[in-house]
Amino acid sequence: MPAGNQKSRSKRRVFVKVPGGATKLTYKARKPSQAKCSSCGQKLVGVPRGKPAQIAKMPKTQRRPQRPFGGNLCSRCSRKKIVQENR
Amino acid sequence: MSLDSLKLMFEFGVIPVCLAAEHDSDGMEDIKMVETFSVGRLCIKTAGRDSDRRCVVVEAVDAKHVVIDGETRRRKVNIAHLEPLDKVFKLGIKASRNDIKVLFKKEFGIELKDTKPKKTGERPKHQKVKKAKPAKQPAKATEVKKEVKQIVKPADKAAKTAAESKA
Ligand SMILES: [Zn+2]
Repeated sequence: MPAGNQKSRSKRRVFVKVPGGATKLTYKARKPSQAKCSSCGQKLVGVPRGKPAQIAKMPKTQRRPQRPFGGNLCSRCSRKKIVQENR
Repeated sequence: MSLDSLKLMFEFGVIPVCLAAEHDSDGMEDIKMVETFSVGRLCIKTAGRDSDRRCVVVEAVDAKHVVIDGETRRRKVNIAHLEPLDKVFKLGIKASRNDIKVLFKKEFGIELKDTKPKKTGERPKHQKVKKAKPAKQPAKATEVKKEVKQIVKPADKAAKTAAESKA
């Protein structure tokens, strides 16, 4: 009888060629969705999409843009916010 | 653009871009830059890693670019990446980093840090470890050979000179 997580589609199905030559169905975790701007919902550029463990291995400078609100707001929204705050 | 917002902008000391575009004179772009981003104008950087930091226009490069200094690094920037504020300080021509430091200390009570360019040291070179080679020939043998040559040479020369004199 298949296990519970094998019946749902919460894990993606990957066919893997095993050393014996046969192909076997394996179940792997899905990647999280692309990071989005918290103000306008636009997809963020410069924020990698990967499993948390893989992203934790990266240097901090590669995880988000090097500006204020980098990784949270898109460049347009961060400009707007900075101008609003300083006027 | 509504009248109220225009009034606000004028109070703020900003000439709106659309107004500049409506004028027919061809040097309008330069005038706009001179007015809003004149030397000594306090600005906020809105783009890049220096964004949300105050800076002062030090020098105008061309119609689109100025040199800034302050809490940011001292560098040439596009005026599209600056937001002008309502203050203009009196600055000399090509004010140095020290002048800006004094200005910020006086006006805002901030001590600016020096932004030194990173010094890159020499790359470590891979050095081969040389093994001590065993001596191939004893020193005596070479000395003997040299002596032989020295003996032969003068004899040859004498023969040559004799041949020449005969000819
Ligand atoms: Zn946004």
